[in-house]
Amino acid sequence: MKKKMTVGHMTIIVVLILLAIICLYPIWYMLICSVSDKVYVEAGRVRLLPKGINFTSYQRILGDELYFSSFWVSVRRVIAGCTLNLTLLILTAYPMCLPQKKFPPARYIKWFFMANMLFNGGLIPSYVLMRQYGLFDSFWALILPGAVPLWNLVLMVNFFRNIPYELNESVTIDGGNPLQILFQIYVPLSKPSLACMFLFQFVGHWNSYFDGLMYINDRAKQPLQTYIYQLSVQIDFSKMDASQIMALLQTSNKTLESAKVFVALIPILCIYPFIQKYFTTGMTMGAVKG
Amino acid sequence: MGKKKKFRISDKMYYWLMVLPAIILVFLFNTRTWPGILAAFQDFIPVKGWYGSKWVGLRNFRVFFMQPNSFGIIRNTLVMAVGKIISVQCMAIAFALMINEVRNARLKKLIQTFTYLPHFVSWVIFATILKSFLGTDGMINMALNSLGLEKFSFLGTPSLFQPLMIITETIKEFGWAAIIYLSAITGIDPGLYEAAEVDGARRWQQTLHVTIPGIRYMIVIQAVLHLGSILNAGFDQIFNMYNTLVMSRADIIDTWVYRQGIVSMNYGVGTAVGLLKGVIALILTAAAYWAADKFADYKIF
Repeated sequence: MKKKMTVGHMTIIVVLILLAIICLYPIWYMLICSVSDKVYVEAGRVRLLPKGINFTSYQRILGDELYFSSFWVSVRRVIAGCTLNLTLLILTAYPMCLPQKKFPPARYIKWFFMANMLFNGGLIPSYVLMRQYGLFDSFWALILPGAVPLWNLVLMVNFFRNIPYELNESVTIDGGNPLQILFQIYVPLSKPSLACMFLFQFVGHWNSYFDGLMYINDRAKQPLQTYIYQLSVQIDFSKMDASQIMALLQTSNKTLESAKVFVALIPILCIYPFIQKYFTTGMTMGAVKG
Repeated sequence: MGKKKKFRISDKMYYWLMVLPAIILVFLFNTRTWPGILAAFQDFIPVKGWYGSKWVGLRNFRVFFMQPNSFGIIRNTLVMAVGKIISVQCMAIAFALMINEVRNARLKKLIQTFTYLPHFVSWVIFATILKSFLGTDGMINMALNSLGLEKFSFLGTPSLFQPLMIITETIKEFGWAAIIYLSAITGIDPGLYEAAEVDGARRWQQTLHVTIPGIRYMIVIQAVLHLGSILNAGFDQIFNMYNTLVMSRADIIDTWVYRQGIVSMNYGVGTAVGLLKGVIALILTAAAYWAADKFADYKIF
């Protein structure tokens, strides 16, 4: 089967490697900036490899209280958010997947979820509602609005439906209740898709910044992505006088910023190898017919 | 023992207890936003609520269409959304076809690992990185400077903004978007390639006559399904990258709604424009799914 490589083949491989480098380079650039000497970075001389390696920017992060409190908010949010999401997904998907006769209201509940999936009041009504609930500046403002991932619920129900219903009976004969059936049969059988959903929820929670920006004003309670957003985006020069701008330019520190960004990327980079297994599952699960 | 049996919860009760938490949460945080759209027809003041605020008919909608840049905002939204869909999907198809030619499994895996990675990086972080390349004191400008050239404000030039958004979105998402085409390619019957080879088809002819027709179905489905998102120009990306200098080309419906509704606290106007966009998007999505089901027998639900 081994053939000589043609010119066309070589070109394709070169193009692909170039694409891979383009995709990886932004992250690599953050890493090399964060460990290089500030002088080289600001002169634009750090391009491929770090120059004047030192870890002062990481030491400075260690002393940044706001960074740490934000990091901690994000960690708590990922743990609490993913736990709640998965628990609700599993519990809700099971009754919905049963044959019509076993739980007739499932039809109407399905319509309720579908209507909510397709239509949301939008940005402003959600904002006003959260204010009415008094959830501003609360940790729960980051967790509760997305507690039931409706799109994933549809996928989960479809997945549960592919598990033969006869398996239920083996437990009911022994006198088991629906919760036992769910956790002894359905959950173990759907470990791969649950893992897949967990990973995508993890990334979703870690990466979201907008809810933190909308609902939380106390900077110590904002998640890490919102903190990073504030770092670079919210600098509004029009509202500053010349001395403030000068002060800002002197303290703006690219190596420090790179280190902050890179640390925020670490959880994603750590979890990435595990997600890889589920890429195809994650993308094609939607196509499973119910 | 006998008493315990009497109080055994019925299966139906269990089912209700299992779905109830989700129903309550969805009701509280989603269904309850629905009445909020009434604010679209009101001069909405939060303390007065939806019952106390004054009704103003369609005035909030008029406010949007009467302002000088409303046409520009709609155009920006459509141009960037459609540009991104076309650019990302074409690149994804080309990438899937190319990577399918790589025979070395480890190289293939490595390229995939790197090209899928940016999808998982948030726009907040990706935008911060892009600014450190393209900003006035970014790497590219420093390099230009050291060559004795003038600095150039990439992110402050209105005519460059839309191409930049389309290109950066493509870099971030093409690999991920290719997965669906790759899985379609894997589904092609290997016998077809063997038959083509027997007929003397070269490698590129096999791509042209077997692979592409094999994934044509998926290309059509993707095109149809993306119809539902032609009003989504990518809020996160633009919100993280735009600035006052490029507003004329950068402002999209979503960013305008955010600034009007949340920043300037014109709740009524913000809700009205958000509602208009939501309704159009809903119709487009419904039409897209209907078309995908009817013409390609593709069902999601």
